[in-house]
Amino acid sequence: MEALRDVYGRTLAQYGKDNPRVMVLDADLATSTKTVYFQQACPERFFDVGIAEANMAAMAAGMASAGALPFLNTFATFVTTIGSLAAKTLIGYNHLNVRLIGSNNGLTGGYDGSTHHSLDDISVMRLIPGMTVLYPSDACMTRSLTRLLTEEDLGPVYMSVSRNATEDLYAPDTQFEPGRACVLREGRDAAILAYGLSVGRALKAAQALAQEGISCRVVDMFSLKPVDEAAIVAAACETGAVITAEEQWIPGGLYSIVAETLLSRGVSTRFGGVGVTRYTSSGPYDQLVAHYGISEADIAAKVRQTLGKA
Amino acid sequence: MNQPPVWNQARAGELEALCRQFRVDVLTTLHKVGTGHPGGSLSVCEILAVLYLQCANISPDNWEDPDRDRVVLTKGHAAPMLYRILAQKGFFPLSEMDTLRQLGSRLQGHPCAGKLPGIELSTGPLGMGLSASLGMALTLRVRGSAARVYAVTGDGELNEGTVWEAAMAAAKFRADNLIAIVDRNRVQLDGPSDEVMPLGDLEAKWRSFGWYTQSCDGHDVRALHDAVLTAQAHRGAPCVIIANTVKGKGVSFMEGKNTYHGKQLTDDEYARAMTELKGETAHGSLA
Repeated sequence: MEALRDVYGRTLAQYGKDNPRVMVLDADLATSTKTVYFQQACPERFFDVGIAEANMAAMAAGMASAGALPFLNTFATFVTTIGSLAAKTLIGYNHLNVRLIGSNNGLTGGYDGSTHHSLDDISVMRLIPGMTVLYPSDACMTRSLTRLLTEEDLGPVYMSVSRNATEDLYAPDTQFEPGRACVLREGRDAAILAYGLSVGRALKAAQALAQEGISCRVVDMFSLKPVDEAAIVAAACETGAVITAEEQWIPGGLYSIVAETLLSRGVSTRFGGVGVTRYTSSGPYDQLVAHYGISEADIAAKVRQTLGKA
Repeated sequence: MNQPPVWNQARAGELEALCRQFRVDVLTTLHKVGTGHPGGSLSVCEILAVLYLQCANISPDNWEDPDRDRVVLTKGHAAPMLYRILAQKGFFPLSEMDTLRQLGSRLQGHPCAGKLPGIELSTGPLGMGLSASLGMALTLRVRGSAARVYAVTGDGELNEGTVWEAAMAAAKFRADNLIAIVDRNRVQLDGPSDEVMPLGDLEAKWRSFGWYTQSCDGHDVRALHDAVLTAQAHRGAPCVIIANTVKGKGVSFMEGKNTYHGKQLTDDEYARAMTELKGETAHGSLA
C-alpha cells in the first residue's frame, strides 16, 4: 500500500505538470510532504521557501492574485498556525485560488509528538468564509481530489493529507465531489459519520457491531466544508442515532458540524462522538489511536453507549 | 504597454503641485469622516504619486491586463492617500472619497481587493505585502511577462519577521522584477522607530539580504523617479529604495509626531493645516 502523502505527491506531479498555472511551494519539507515529485517534474514552477511558512502562505496569495494556481505545502499543524494569518486575511478575504495542503495530519506524525500532531485543522480552516475543507480517507480519494484541485478553480481549498497508508475503501477511478458525502455501508440502527483514516476504523467497528446484531450505516464525510447536510439529516432521521468518529480535537470538528446541522434543522437524535480531548504523546500511530480513544473498539463502544446497549 | 508621460522639469513640477493638492484633499476627507490615518498618508504621498502617475504601467484601461504592473501598498493604513491617487487615475469618482471607512463603502479602512479597481491585494495586517508581492513577481516571471511589482512598505512594518523571510526568498529567487520602496518616516504608533524597535543601518541590512539598495529623499519626486528608473534597469537581484520621509509631511505641527498616526485633527488644527498647505500651494507651479 502506498502512503497517502506519496499518492498526493505523485498525483500533483502527474497532473500539475500539465497545467502551467500550477505552482508549488514548500517550506523545507518537500521530501516529507512529497512535493519532491513535482520538483523533479517541474523545477521551474517549484519554490522551496525554506522554513518560513507565513511567508510561503502570503507568497501563494500573491501568486493566485496574479493568476496562478498555487499549492502550498507543510505539516498540517503549521498551516493552521503559522500560515493562518495569510489564510484568513489574504487567501480567504480575497477568495483566492490557493490550495493549502496540510500533511502529516491527525496523529500520523506519530513519533514526532504533540507539537507535530494536527488536531485542529478542520476547526480552524472551516471558520474561514468561502474555504473548502477536504480530508480524504484512502488512496483512490486522495488521487481523485488532488487531480480535481489541479484542474478546477474552486476558490481557496484546504486539504488534509495523511502520512500513512491505509486499506482501499473505493474502487479505482471513483469520482468525488466536494459537498457530497459517500455512504460506504448501509444500516438501520445507527450511523457512524467519519473522515480520514477514521473511516476505515468506522467500517471495522460496523462489522464488529453487526456480529452483535447492531446494524450501522457508515458515511465518509471527506468534505467537511461544504458539508453534505442532507446526508447528516438522513443519517439522523433514518437511523435515529448519529456517532461521529474523528482524529481531531472534538470542539470545532465533525462532532460540532453535525450538532450545528441537526440543531439548526430542528432534528432530534441520539448523539455521540469519539475524538481527541487532550495534548498527545509521541508513539507509534496505532498505539496513539488506541491510547487517545479513537480506535475501532472505541467507536464500537460509543455506538453501544449511544444506543443504551453498553 | 502604455507609454509613461514624458519626464522633464515641467512634469516633475506637475507632480509636486498634485502632491500638495493630495495632502489638502486627504486631510479634508479625514476631517469630514472623523477617522483614518493621517501621518503615514502624508509621508507616502510622493512615493505613490511617482509610481501611479509616472513609473508603473497601471491605469483603468489596462486593469484587466495580466501584464500590467502591480503596486501593493503593504502599509495598508495609508489607504486614504492611495485612494486619492487612484481617484486621480480615474479608477473611481473623486466624490466617493467622502464614503471612506463608512458602512458599505468600497473605500475600506484598509484596502480591499475586489471591492475597488486599482487595489491589487487586501492589506492591513503588516508584514505580508512583500511576500505576496514576491509571489506576484514570480508568477509574472514564470509566465514570461515583463511586468514589474512595486511593494510599498512602512518602516515600522519592518519589525515584522515575515518581511525578512520575504527578503531572503526574493534574493534566492533573483526576483529582479520586484522593487520594494520603504516609506522611512522613522515614526510609528508608540513613538520614534529608533525607540520602539531600532532598525539600525537599514540599507546595510537589505544589502546583506542580497538586495540592490538605494536611498533617496522620499519627498523629492525627481530623486524618487531616478531611483525607480535605476531599479528598473537593475538585473539579477530584487531592488529596494529607502525613501527617507517625514511622518505628517507638509503640516508643521504634525511632522515627526507619532501622535498623528491615527488621530484626527481638531477644527482649529485642520484650519491651520489648510492655511499651511494652501499657502504652499499658492506658491506652487500650478497656482
